[in-house]
Amino acid sequence: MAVRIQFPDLPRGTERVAMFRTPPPEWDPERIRRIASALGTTGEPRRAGQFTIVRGRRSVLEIYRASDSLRWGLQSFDREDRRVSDPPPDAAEALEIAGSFIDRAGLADPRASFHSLGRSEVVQAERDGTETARVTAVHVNYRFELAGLPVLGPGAKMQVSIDGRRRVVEAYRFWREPVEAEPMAAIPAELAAEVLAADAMFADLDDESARVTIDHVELGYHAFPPMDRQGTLLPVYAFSGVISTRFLERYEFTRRALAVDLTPEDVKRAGTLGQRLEPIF
Amino acid sequence: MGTIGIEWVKQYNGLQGNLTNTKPQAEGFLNTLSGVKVFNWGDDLAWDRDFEEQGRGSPPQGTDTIWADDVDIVFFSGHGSADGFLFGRKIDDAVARPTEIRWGDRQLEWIVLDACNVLERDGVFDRWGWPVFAGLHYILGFHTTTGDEPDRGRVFAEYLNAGWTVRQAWIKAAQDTEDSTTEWAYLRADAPGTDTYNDHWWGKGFTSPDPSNPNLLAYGRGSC
Repeated sequence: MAVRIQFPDLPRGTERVAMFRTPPPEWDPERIRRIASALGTTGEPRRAGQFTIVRGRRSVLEIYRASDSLRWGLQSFDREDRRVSDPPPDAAEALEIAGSFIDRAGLADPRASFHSLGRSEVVQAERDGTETARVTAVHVNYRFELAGLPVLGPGAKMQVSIDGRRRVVEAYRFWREPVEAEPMAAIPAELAAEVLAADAMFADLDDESARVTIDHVELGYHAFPPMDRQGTLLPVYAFSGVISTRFLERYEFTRRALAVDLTPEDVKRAGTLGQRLEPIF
Repeated sequence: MGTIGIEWVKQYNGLQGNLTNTKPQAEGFLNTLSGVKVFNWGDDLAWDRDFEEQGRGSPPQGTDTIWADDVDIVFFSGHGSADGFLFGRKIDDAVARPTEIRWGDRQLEWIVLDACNVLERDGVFDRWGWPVFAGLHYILGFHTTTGDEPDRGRVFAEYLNAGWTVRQAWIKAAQDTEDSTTEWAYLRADAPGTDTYNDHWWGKGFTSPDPSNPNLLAYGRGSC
């Protein structure tokens, strides 16, 4: 008998979902030079595979030609901080530095808001048992929202990293510029939960051997990784939960169920390289 | 030219939930990285003993000299925990534990363990550090859980091919394919005369000599 999945209260009340197309980006030389200049990176843009790269003496700008995404970094940043400097700024100072950087770089966006702080840590160990730990950078993480819903996934986020010298050492903005389209009827969350329960992830589990609990369900849009084209932001229910078995006590997962019924044409428009568009992914 | 092996597990046969994207993730790495493809084992042909050393730990049947430690780089995709990475068929006991492993004494330089929590920070040096590194340069993985996604192997290989260091390529690939609550991690070794911090894939720049008897381990982690 298939494993029974415990669900929390499911989201209700959404009958129609705003839809957003994400047309191919327009990375003309002028736009690239403008961004590079704002970031203080001077050099000739050069195509390198899926990127256009501007390599200056101090910094490097990588443009993802498949989306409106970019990554920037100082060439001198030593991620293991081997020259040992002061610890990075506290939360308040980090937010201020990140905010100023975003404004100067022209990356500010009313659809993006602060999400969390992270940090890079390095620990070195020697044979005699000595361990030395250092926080080498603090990461200020931002997420995007559209039509009141979060945009989820690796293709919609922004990060500014700051080191102990109060320098912004790395930053990225992963995004695709949306164009609003006709809204669509939303699939009820209960139906999406039924589709999830039939997923192959649970096919070989039963109540004797496993316990499956969904902790959180949210409606949002999914943005695929920035290096691939994506024609439409996908409305999804993101189900986050845990599978427990004797073999592996805790496996935390997130599975996404489409929240709208897409036509084959919509599926072709929305899919990306390497990502087969299934009802659950 | 460097040599490449991959192993992946989708079907866990009731031991845990099945995974969807481990095969495309690992095969994306194999089919993209510039090098010689040596092995591609998945599901019932992916075995923990392929990564374990003969006579080490319990059970003692290891064949890494034929598989994992007979190539320059290995990419594993499947379930994991701080105590090991997991397989779907109990040829051995379906868990490759650090107590059964010693890498780099033959050929292996870098190994990706694309599985949850393997490089969890607490106790990492005693788990995956001193007992395991015998010439190995890097273990690349995650401090946290990680997503079941299809692209990271391909993306990592693209960055390696483009000449980024192994360390930078892994961090970039993790940033490109996870949200910021996931934390990438790596563990590397050095010995007198080595400099694995600046390692590149073979033919793409400097590659350090093997740290066969390491006197330094460095662990790094950060937000994707």
